[in-house]
Amino acid sequence: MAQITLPGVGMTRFSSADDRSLVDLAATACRRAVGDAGVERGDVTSLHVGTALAEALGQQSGLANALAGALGVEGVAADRVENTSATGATAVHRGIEAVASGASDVALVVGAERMSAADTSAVTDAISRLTHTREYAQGLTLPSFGGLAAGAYLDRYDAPREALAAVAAKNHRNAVANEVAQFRREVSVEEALGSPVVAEPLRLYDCCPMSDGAAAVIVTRDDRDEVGGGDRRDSDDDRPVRVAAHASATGTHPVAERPDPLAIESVRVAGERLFDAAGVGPDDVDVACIHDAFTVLELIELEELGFHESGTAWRATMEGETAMDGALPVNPGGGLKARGHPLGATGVSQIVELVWQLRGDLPDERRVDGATRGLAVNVAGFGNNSVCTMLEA
Amino acid sequence: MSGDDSRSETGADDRGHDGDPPADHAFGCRECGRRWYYTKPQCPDCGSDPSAHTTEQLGEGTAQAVTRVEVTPGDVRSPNRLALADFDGVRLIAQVTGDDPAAGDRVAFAGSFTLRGGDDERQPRLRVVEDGE
Repeated sequence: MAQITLPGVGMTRFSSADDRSLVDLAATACRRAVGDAGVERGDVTSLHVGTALAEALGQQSGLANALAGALGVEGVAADRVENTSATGATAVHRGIEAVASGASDVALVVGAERMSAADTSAVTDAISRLTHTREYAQGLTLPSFGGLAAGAYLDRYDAPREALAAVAAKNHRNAVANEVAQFRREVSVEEALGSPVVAEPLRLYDCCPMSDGAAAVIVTRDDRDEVGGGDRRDSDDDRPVRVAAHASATGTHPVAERPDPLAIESVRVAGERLFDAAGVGPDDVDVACIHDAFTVLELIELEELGFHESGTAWRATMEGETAMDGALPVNPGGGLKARGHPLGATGVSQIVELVWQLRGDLPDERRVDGATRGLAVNVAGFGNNSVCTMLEA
Repeated sequence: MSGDDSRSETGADDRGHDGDPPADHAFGCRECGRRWYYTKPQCPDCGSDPSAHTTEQLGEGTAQAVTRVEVTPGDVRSPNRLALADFDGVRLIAQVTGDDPAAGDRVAFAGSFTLRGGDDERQPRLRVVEDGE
């Protein structure tokens, strides 16, 4: 069976405000991915564009078609993908499926968002609209769900607030050496604990920022195993990173309908499907990009994915197991917390990070040594939809 | 249609984006007995349509998780205190009035408040039920 490969990736630096238009941001990431893959733009046969808030924030409507024009690739198949904060990973999956089906030979996937285009309250409202009408009526925001879950987590597992702050400190530390991260600055546990309350017990440094940015990846097929046999195989070192599996799952729309406030079933189900499809288990993963929109989410998702037993990820984090030199480095690029969270771009940026890690072409201080298998989970809403991808070197 | 606390049935024409019942009401299915809070176009268990659905006022529930949101949208008061509460299997998140609840506290809807700016309807909020009430 043909393998799906990712021969090229690229992204813009994420930032709190980028002067470039949404089209320019997306086009910049695309050009970098095309260049990295060593293909010509004329080779691209499909364009899969993820953006969550383009219209809501008064940006470009019809972004896929505008981008095709900006890139000079008119004629390609193109469409737009939307899945709130998991838009990016879903766009990657649509590109994978287009190539796997044979409908496309070279898919260019890009996720882009420009959240600085509107004021904070307008962005917050646009995001809050993803909730059920009876949730919206109560003034619920995404951090509201995070606060409820974080309080329940600390309460049930008798964990200290330092456990949440430790996630933030670790992800900020990882971002210092990441040239495309929004916040390249260390934040201590004490500083995180002392930051203003957003939704008790979550504080400012427990929450991801609003961001501008774009990330892109080229998806194609490697048919060489089918047609050539061993002689035509390049050495493993030269082979592009391949997609081992991809899977997603929806969860309840209203968060309160979940039987357990600390269960995010969509993450668990998508993870089970991913591991089943890849034929490996959590112990076989070398590096993970986890959707840490709030620090408590990193803990819950690590548990739902089977990397840690329920109620233990906080202790593992405090003991350094998720640090760069730990048993499973988590969010080596800084995660949503410190790399930033431009909604439509985040899921693609997780794939970009994993490709860089698996190729090993990163500076020593930010490379997970010898990583050959990586997992990413990108989550829509507070678990409305979870989108998992496994890559292998 | 909105604001009619005496309403005991919801016909299909009453429902939709603006057709959520008062905040202290849940739905029930006459066909299968299932109860739920978040408005849906069909029963989540048996799939019956809204003509088979009733609404009922919720009694006492138990807080499972609580938070105090300090950063709120422009039309929502700050802080916005919230509880995730379970009413015999019907779970919801609602605003809190009065004393701060803790997980495990008994809660019930009470009072009449504007939940967020722009609403022309006043709604009850959750409050802690004191021992012996």
